[in-house]
Parts: sequence; C-alpha cells; structure tokens
Amino acid sequence: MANIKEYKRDFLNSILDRFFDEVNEIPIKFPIDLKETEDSFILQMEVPGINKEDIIIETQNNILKIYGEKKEEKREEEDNVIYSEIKYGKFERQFRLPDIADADKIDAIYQNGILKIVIPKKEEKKPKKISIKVK
Amino acid sequence: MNILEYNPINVLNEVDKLFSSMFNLENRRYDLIPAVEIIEKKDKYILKAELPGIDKNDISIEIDENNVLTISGVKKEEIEENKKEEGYYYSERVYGEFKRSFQLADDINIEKIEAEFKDGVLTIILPKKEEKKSKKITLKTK
Repeated sequence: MANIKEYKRDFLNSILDRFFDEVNEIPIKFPIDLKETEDSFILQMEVPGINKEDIIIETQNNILKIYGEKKEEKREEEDNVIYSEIKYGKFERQFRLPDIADADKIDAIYQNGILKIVIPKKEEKKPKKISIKVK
Repeated sequence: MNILEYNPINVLNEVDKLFSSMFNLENRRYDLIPAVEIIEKKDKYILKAELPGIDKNDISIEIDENNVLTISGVKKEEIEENKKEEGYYYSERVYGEFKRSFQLADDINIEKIEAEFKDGVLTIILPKKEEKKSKKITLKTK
C-alpha cells in the first residue's frame, strides 16, 4: 500500500547534525492527522497562534517538509508569568510521500490554528480495474 | 475588612480538577487539556488557551459567583464533505470535551473582561480594578 510515512534521517547524520548545530534545539512536533480519500491525501497539523508567514512547506525528492518558528510575544520586564504551558520555538516534521502523490499540486491553507495540506494523487497512477476474461 | 498578605503565586490558582470533581460530584475525565498561559501585566492579566481546530461557537466562557472562570467546550472532528473517505491511517490529534477552571483574583474587574478567538488561540483579557492599583504613600514627618 502506498502510504505517507514520517521521514527520519539516518542515525549517523542526525548525530552529526546535532554535533555541528550551534543551538542544540530539538524542534517541536505538532500533532497531525493523516487521511486518505479517493483522490488525495489530507494532512492536518495543529499549529495554533502562528503567523502564516512563519510556516514553510517544502518538497524535495518526495520528502514533504513542514517547518518554521512559533514566536513568543515580546514581554516587558515587569511582566509576571503565572502559567506557561504553551510551547514556543522551532518546529519541524518531514514525511516521505508515496510515488502516487503529486508533489507539484500540493495545496495548503491555514485556518483556525490548523494547517491543512492537500496532496492530490496522480491521475495516471490511480488504480485501474482490470477485468479478467474467462475462456 | 482585613489586610491580607498579597501572594501573586496564588492569585490565579487553578482549581484542582480532583477537588472540583469532589465538590461538584461530577466524576468524569475530560478528553483533552488545552495548554494555557497566564501573564500578569501592570494593569491586567492575559490568559491564553490553545484550542486549534475548534469552532468559536463550541467554546464557552463562564464566571460563577465564586469568581471561578471556566473555559469549556468540545472539539469536533472535521469531516470531508463530498468526498469518499478511505479512512485515517495516522491520527495524533485528540478530539472531545475539555474544561479548565481558574480562581480569579479579587483585583480583577469582572465587568470588563474581554475575550478574542484567533488562529486557534483564545485570549482572555482580565483588567485589574482601578482603585486597587498600588498607591504610593508619602510619609509625613512632623
């Protein structure tokens, strides 16, 4: 079955990346839902309270990368933080797209704190029904 | 009226879910717990709750006679219309009911509380009462 799979870089590369990364920051992983319909894959990510401009979606070699930064509002010195459960900082997730996905026709909208990415399936790759003739 | 020690940590003390369930005799767990942030500024408190993918009409904000502010509601799953769904194969998002309560400080002007919902974040502005703003008292020396 052709599925979208979360893409993880191999262990050695990720260690090296971390080694050379000046800011040793592990990006936030926002929760997602992934659905499949007849003609597309639908990925929804919960990214509340972010500027649309701070979300970047890229595809390269069938890898879909969603990343960006959730910025905190500027605080004044006299501000007193009573509760802070909201996460701020860099976020990133990558997914390996199946061959059937049409990476050139990906559509994305941000509404109500949800990033919705629609990945259409290629026309010619839709499964065909083949009738078997009986002799 | 007494003068009580002012302890900002206890100002917006969240009513423990366990206790509220004991007193209200409601013994249920909520499906999701929205992340909350409360910042105290010079003249107000700002409460933010993350409620992504929730309809504005599905959120309710109430303040009871004991000055307890309650945010509650339900997060419904979005259904793709006009499309035959072949189903989920990955689901990390949580749907269902939520409820969180906060004990408000005496210095909050309840009449002037305002709320806004944008990009999945509920922001409640709780202004402080004018008369309770700290005053400088000058000492007179005779």
